[in-house]
Parts: sequence; C-alpha cells; structure tokens
Amino acid sequence: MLKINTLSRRSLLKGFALTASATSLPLSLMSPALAAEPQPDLDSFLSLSSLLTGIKLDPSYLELGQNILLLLRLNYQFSLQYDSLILSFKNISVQDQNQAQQLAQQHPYPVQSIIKAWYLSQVSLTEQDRNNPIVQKLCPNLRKSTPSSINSMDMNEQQSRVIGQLDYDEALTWQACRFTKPAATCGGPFGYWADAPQTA
Amino acid sequence: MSLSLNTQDSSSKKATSDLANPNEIIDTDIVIVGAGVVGSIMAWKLSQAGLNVVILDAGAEVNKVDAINRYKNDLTKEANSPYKMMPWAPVPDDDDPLSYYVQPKLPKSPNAPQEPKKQIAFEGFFMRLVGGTSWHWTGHAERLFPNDFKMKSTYGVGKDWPISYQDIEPYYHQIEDAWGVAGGPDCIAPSPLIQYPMPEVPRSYLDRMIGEGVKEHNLGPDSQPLPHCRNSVPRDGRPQCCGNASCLPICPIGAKYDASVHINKAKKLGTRILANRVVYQVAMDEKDPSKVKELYYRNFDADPKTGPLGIARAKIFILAAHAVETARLMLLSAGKFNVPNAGLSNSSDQVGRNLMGFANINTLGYAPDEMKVYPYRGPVSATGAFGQWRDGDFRSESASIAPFIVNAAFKGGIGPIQEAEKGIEKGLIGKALRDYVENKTARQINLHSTVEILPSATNRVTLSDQLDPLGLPRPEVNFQLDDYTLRGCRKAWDWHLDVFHALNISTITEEKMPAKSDENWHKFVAGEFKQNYQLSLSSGDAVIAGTACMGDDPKTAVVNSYCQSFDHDNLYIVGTANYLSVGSASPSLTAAALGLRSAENIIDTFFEAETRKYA
Repeated sequence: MLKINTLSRRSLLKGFALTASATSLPLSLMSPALAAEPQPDLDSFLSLSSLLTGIKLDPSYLELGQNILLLLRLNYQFSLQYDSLILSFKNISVQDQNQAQQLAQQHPYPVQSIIKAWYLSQVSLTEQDRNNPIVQKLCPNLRKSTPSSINSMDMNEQQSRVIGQLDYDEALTWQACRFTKPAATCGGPFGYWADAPQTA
Repeated sequence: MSLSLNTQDSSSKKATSDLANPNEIIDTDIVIVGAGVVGSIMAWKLSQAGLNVVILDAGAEVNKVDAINRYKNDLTKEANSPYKMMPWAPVPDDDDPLSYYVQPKLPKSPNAPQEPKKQIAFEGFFMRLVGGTSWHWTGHAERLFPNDFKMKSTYGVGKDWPISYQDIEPYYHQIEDAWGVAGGPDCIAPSPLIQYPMPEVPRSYLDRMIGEGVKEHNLGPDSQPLPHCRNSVPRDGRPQCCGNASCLPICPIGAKYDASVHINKAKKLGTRILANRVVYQVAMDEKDPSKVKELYYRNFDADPKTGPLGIARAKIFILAAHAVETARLMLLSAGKFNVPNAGLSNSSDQVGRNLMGFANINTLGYAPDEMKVYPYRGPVSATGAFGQWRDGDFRSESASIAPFIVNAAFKGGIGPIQEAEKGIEKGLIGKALRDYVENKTARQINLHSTVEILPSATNRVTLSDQLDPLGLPRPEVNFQLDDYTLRGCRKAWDWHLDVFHALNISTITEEKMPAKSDENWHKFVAGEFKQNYQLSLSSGDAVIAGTACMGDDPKTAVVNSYCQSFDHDNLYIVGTANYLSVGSASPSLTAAALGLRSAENIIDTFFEAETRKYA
C-alpha cells in the first residue's frame, strides 16, 4: 500500500489557521526551530511576502515562511538589505500594488529573492552552504545555478552558487495557477480535465 | 573502486577462476534477461503454464514512494528524475543521450547545422530498472495498423513482417485485457469495433479546443481520443486515474499500467526476479553450438563494489532487454565461449541493423489571450491526437504521421514554475506576477508529431571503443533520416504552421510563427529555430525498435515469426527489437502481444521436447 506524504505540514496547519491566530497555535505543531526560538519579525515577513507575491499568506504559512527566511538570511548580502527592506515596509501606510512596486525599486535584490523563494520554492545558496545543517535539513537537493541576469553578482560569484528547493508542492506558482496542481498530486475526479476549469 | 571487467581476455586465469567459483548459479527452465513490459508479461504467461522462470535485470527494483519523493525534490523534473540508476547499468541521460550512446558521425561542433540525411542525434531513451522503461512510458496502448505489417507489398517501401495483423490480433486482445486498456469506438485505432475492457479516457479541454480549431479552419478532422493503458474505472486492484499530471514520468497511484503489475503477478506464480544482475556474455554449448548453454553476469546485489560473477543455466533463454541492450549483448558475446565471431545469432549479419525510432516535429507556442487552453490537467503525455495520417496511400511516398497535443505543454512538472521565473525576471510583482503566471501557463501549447522511420541496414547499433563503467563497450549508433521520413516531417511541419497561423498561436517569444516556406523549412531542419523558439526536428524519443528483426528467411532475419533465433533454437529474442516497421504508434502494445505469442510457442515446444526426452 502506498504511503505518500502529499499533505505537507502547512496543509495540516492551514486547517488550524482558519480558527486560530499564530500565537495560539500549539507550539508542538510548529517546527523545532520555530518552537525553540520564535522570531518576532515573522509576522512582518509574512505580511511583506503577501504584498510582494500578490497572494494572501495566512498563518498556516508560518513554518514555511520561517524556513524561507532562515535560508535567505544565510546570504549576508540579503540579510543586510532585508533589514532595510522590512523598515521600509513597516513605514507603508496602505499595502497596495504601487507600494509593492516601490519596494521592488528601492530594494530589488531582497524583493526578488523573497518572491523567488515563495513562487519557485527555491533559494539561492553557495557551495559552502552545502555543509550547513539548516540547508541539509530544509533543502538537501541542491543544483548548480545557471547564470542569470537577475542580480548584480559577477560571473565568478554566480558560478559558486547553487539552488536549493524547499517544498515543490508549496511553491506559490501553484496558487497562482488556479487551474492546475503540483505534478503528482491528484487533480480531481476522473475526467475533470475534459472541461474548462471552474476558475476559467 | 572500479567496476571494470576484463572481458577482452576471458581465458585469463582470473576469468577461469571466477567461472569455476561463481558467486551464484541459477539452473531453471527459462531465463529472461530484462524485466520490462515484455519480459514481465512473458514470465507471467510461462509461470502460469508451470514453468520455472527467472528474470535477470541489470537495474534495481523501484520503490515507488522513494521515486515520487525523488521526483518532487528534483528541480529539473526530467523523465528519469524519479529513478535511481545504478552505476553498473548506465542509460542515456535525459538531457544528453550521448552520455551513453556514442555517435561519432555527428558533427563535433554543437553549433553545426543539423543535417539529418547525413546523421541525426539518436535520442532514444530507455531505463535499466526492474519494470524497465514502462515506468515513464506515455501509457498509450496503440495497435499497429494492418498495413504496417505489409509495407513492402502494399506501399512498395520498407519490409513485410512474417506475420499479419490477423495473426497478432488475438494477442492484442489478450494484452488489452491483461494490462487494462481504456478505449472506445472514437479512438484512433485500426478498427472502431475493437472491444476495450474499459471505457475511454476523455480528451482534455486542450485537445478539444485545438481539435475544434483545426476542424473549423478546414485543416483536418477533429482530434480523437487514444487507447490508454490507464484505468478509467477501478480495475485489477488498481485505482481510477485522477489526473495527477505526472504520468510521464511516474503515476503516483498506479492507475497507469507499468510492468511492475505483471512482475508482481509473475512473482506470485513463482517467477524469481533478480535485480542488479548485469548479463555480459552468452555462452554456447561446447558439444552442440546451436544451443545456448548459459549466461554470465555480474551480481551487484551480492556486492555493489565488486559485482561477483554469476552463471544462469536454463533450457530456454529469452533476451528481452530492449532493442539497444539486446543487440549490444549479442554483439558483446561474439568470439567467446563458442559464440561465432559475428556475434550471437548473427549468421544473417542483421544484429544491430534496422534501428528505428521516430522523427519528431516539436512546436511550442502561446495561444491568444482569448483562447486559454489550460494544459497540465489530466494525463500529461496526451489524451488526444489527430488520426488522418496514420495510414493511407500517401505512405508509398511519405511517412505515417501521428500529431498530438502534449498536455504537459512546455515542460511537465515545472512549466508553470518556469513561467513564474520569467515573470520574476521581468520584474513583475504582486498581483501582476500572479496574473502573469496563470495567464501564460494557461496559453501554453505543445503540438508534437511523431513521424515514421523505415528499417535501414545502415541505421544500426554496433560496439564502440568507448567503455561503460563495467569496462564493456558502449553502444555506437549510426542514424540518418531518409527522404521518405523527411517528406513526412515536411508535411507535419507545414501542418503545424497552418494550425498555429490559423489559430493565432504565437512563438514562445510571443512573435508571429515563421511563414510556411522552403527557406524556413530548411532553417527548421538545420536547427535554426531551436534555440529561440523551441521549434525542432529530433529523432529517437519514445521508440527504439529494430536491431533483431524477424522474418521468414534466416539469411535476412535474426528470428522467426515466434521471435525464436534462427541460429539457436533455445534462444528467443523479443520486444521492439523484432519490429520491421514502427508506423507512428506507441510501440509497447505490439511488443507485448508478440511476447505473448512467443510465450505460447515456448510453452508448446517446451512440453513437446520434455515429453520426447522422457519418452
């Protein structure tokens, strides 16, 4: 009998999140890192991420958000610029598309890193990070990075970078593409594919 | 630690000593090499008859849960992503088939224009695992058409098989029942009267939209469903398909048939499946060189580092190791252990020749904004196709063509993620990014045609001087497309362009598709549209056939119509290797049907021989 863990912790937590706030979540259900060391800026990170991704991230995303932030902060350049980004974000009065655009213009590198991490469920790491226990636990599958024009890194730096995947099923791309689901996930009743999706 | 094997000097003391003290000895009625769709169905049939069967496979057993997790965690989501290949059983890489095949006649420069009449990269993919390539097959269970069996006599091209459609038809029925094929009267098939054991798998919304567009613009008939080897209702202990959109490379729930189904059935009947055994030599009987005596293999199950030697003895030997590996083993065996210098069962000099695949016309593009087609839903290989060019008088001039729409669109598993990546690179953010990802993904179209290749003595597999990790020669391939196939390719390319132009489908860069002209055809063939537009001509893909063709004449064929070697009557060579034509249909159903027919012949002759012996 197949025992495939297609339900992520987040999916499980999502049920709780509908009725409970983040602070009332049972501590035992949170990740060990989260339970041991609650991060006060996690709520801000989720709010910021919601604005940048265009997708509302409820408290069921706390653990994934925690993991993403942990991994992104391994990058010193990101860490430095993120603090500045979060300050700018906290000064925003209305969270709308224009403000998101402004943040992206002012802080392009951390903004793109955050959006990539959420949409692709991927983070950019270095070869040295392979030995980091956090990396080994959260994204053991690392791949050499292909050169990109996204940021200002020079070629040498790019060549030493690797891509780590957190959780394929949780990539926000699948939330954006409402008409499909992550591959190897049951799509619906037999024959659902014959008709236009309900979101059409 | 090197796995290398000294095969050049098999009479050395070491080899003699290993053979005298093998790690494992198998002595049974039937030994099958290869646990794929044909080996497994034959083992099931032979075990039912009470024969003792052992299957040796070079690769490992597949743990499905591990495979799915491996697939999810792999960033590339290639066809082989879910599967762990063993170092002692190398296969062509997804993105670089030449990592295994050696094709010296290809131009050295990667930027050289493609010249398929001189040489084209052979991209036939297969896997060496228990279950074989069926793990990531499309699940299309198509019969060949009656004229596919008599190409020479009907159309004056190619070759005739020694059997007719009528000869194989009862075995098609048996396989359709054994595998569980879903189909109906509207399916593309030789006859609308075929009784399938399950109702048909419906076409996707994408198939219907394109099909309607084709019909409305008088470019041909509507798309049609295909016979599928995936459950449309729960059957045989397997669930109904729920459209996981990952069946190529893996169906997570087992709704799609794969060879593990009959491996497990055969096991219950007593067949032993021995994984990680790489057969590298066939040995003939010293007293009767017409008989195969035993096989020598490396047993990496016993020790993954050294792979000690094993010997398999049997009354009947069946090679079911796919068209490339079967031919390679037959050639590897040459000149040793009483095998003739030309190779095993090679008095006709046909082993390795007549290698066939498909030529592929690949065209990707975006539907217009008002025509969202919603790919990535349901079975991803294809649920529908266009059937107008499977067979007809045109085949005296140009190849059979099977156009179909790939439900996995630009790239199964990660197509939508790649759209997100592009959106992020464009600097999109927030709702604009979300809308972009959905809009672009919903408009992806991948129209693909497979085009027939005829058997040719010069398209062949031989042994390279480059070695695999065991120190065995890798398969060297010579592969060209002839004018017959290229005329079919041109017809398919022109039709693709007609469809794309009529339906306002743009290139992947959202430009207008190239115009239908001689100049653009030549650019397409040369590969000039590949980099920017992913419009390409390729070859190989899902079909690898030929290399041990069947026939009536021992001078021109390797096996008879029961897949029995002309040279060695206790040797059967089965699978797509026997094909004399490929049409443009998926090949597996016919290979399995031939395997069943062969198994019946083995059962009949086996018991006759045993009775004679004991009388």
